[in-house]
Amino acid sequence: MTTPLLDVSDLTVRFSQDRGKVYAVNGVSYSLARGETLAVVGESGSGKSAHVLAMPGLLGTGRYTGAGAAVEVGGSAVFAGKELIGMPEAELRRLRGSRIGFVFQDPMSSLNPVLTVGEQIAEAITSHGVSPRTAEARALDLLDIVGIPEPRRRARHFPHQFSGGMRQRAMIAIGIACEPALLIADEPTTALDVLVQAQIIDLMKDLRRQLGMAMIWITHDMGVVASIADTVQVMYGGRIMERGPVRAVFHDTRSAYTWGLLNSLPDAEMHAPSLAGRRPRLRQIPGQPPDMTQVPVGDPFAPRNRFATHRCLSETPPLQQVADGAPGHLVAAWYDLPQVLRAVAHRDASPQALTEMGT
Amino acid sequence: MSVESFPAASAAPARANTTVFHRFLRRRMAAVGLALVVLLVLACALGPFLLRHDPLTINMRGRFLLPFSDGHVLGTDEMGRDLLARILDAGRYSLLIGILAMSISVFVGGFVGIVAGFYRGILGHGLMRFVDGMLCFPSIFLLLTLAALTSPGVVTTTIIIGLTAWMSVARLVHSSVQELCQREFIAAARALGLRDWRIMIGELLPNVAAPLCVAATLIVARAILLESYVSYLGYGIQPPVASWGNMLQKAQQYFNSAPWLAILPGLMITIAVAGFNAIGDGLRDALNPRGRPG
Repeated sequence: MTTPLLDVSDLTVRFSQDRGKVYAVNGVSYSLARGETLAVVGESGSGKSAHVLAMPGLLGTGRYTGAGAAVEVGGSAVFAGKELIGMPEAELRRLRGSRIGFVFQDPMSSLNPVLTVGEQIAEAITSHGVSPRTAEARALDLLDIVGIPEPRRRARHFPHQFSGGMRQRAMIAIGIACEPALLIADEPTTALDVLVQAQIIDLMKDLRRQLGMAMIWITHDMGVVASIADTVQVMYGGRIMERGPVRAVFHDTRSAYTWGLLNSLPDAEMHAPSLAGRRPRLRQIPGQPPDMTQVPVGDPFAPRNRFATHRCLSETPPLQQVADGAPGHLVAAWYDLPQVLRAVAHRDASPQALTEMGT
Repeated sequence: MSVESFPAASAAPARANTTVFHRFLRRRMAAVGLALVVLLVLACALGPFLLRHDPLTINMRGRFLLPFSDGHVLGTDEMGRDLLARILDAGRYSLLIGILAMSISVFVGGFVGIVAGFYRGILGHGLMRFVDGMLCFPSIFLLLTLAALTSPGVVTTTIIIGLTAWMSVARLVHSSVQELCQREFIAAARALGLRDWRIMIGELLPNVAAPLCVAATLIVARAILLESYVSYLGYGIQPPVASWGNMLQKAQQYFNSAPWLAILPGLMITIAVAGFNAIGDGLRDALNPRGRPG
């Protein structure tokens, strides 16, 4: 087996604030192969952005933490044979943008409003020791690659003269400017409308194939996951709840949280009037996200999980291979979800009743 | 997706290809302000060479001559010196001091503001508390204290005015840099692996350029006035060399009998201040890439 591009083990992230600590990420371990696309899924505060941004030293900047919060990152993350955690800032800076590219969520605010798009792409290249003249030519190529028509003219435009989808294309051009081995995309399609989303996803798929880069795609959109990812990793309360090949996780769900997430997706069927003339309600996961300021104990999802046992509340389940599942399909749960679901279904004789029980 | 159908894109080319200077000139007030300031600077720079009167020649028999009398276009002052020659000569000092003091305070204030806003923590807080401390002194007293410790002259006056005016610039820049640092494009710049100084100069500075320009033009105006205060109290530009400030100050005792002695230097200060302010407003709009002409 070849060495993975990224090997994360027992990564922890804590934010220290005036009012105490926030346990944002609590022991996350996984590895990412070269060329693999990993989708990290979870709700706000699940640690999905925090753990990814902690590795290249990007926490503590911008919107990700409040002002004055100190960040403590523990554990290990080995990228292409080099340990990232504790790496000097100067060395990290050289990796960022060249070996690790980024595409951020909001293309409106991720581009500098007073610099032209061409300047900003060129800047990504010159910051890693390329002459301005070469960078300028390369910026035009990149605009062309990401599908922006008339690159020569468009490079002279400011971000506000671009539409949302165009801006995200420009962001992607910046992200891939130095042909990184790993592209981290933090909800890159969330701020876009659905048609543009599909275009951007197609573009990213093409680029992934052309450049052979690995991707970590942070999202909460299950539809996006299905269309682009090889592997999906569901996070909750700063832990990995379930992880595995997309098909396995979607069709052979083992974590009650993943199950809740998948069930909370609206589908076309819901909008068709049922025979009784009453539409089914949108299913939601009951309860509140966990309080991350407490020292985590037990399975973080247990308080909201109808299937939780006493053991779930007191002991943290390890992330383990699913016994009868696909290879690489891991879950952190004390219960056996398929068995629990079968039992409940048997009792209620109606799967519909099951999902509405909790609401 | 058709690019042409997108309104911003179709409206864009005309604007995207114009320079900041073009956008600046399209604003009438700004163009007038620039014309006034250029005229003033040229007159002060070249005027004294073209006039036959020397600004320092005293003529006790021709005191308080009215304008347009005896070859003196603007009349003479209490020592019979030609007022036009003195006003133009004084303008050299006043404008020079105004512009140089502005450069000093924009440079110092901009530097402190960007550094303090970018690196919060001890460095940022320390710098801003120092700024607060400096602001606690009424600027006139600060000015006078510094002036008392140095020998009066153009260079020292300029430096002193520059060093007492930078705090407001620092505050202005600091607050907008702090706000900018919350924006995602700064996180994106870090993600690109840009060095700190490149983020400060390449990303933050262009974003604060507009308020900085406005502040700069206000400071030119303020510096011209401050210079007149300092001159008034016997520091600053020393007689017999004229500055607009010390001319105004001298003239006030003759205001009933010879009002033009006060009105004319005052008018020059007003024109210069208004001109610089109009330039500032115009620059603010011209430097904003979203700015619409007119």
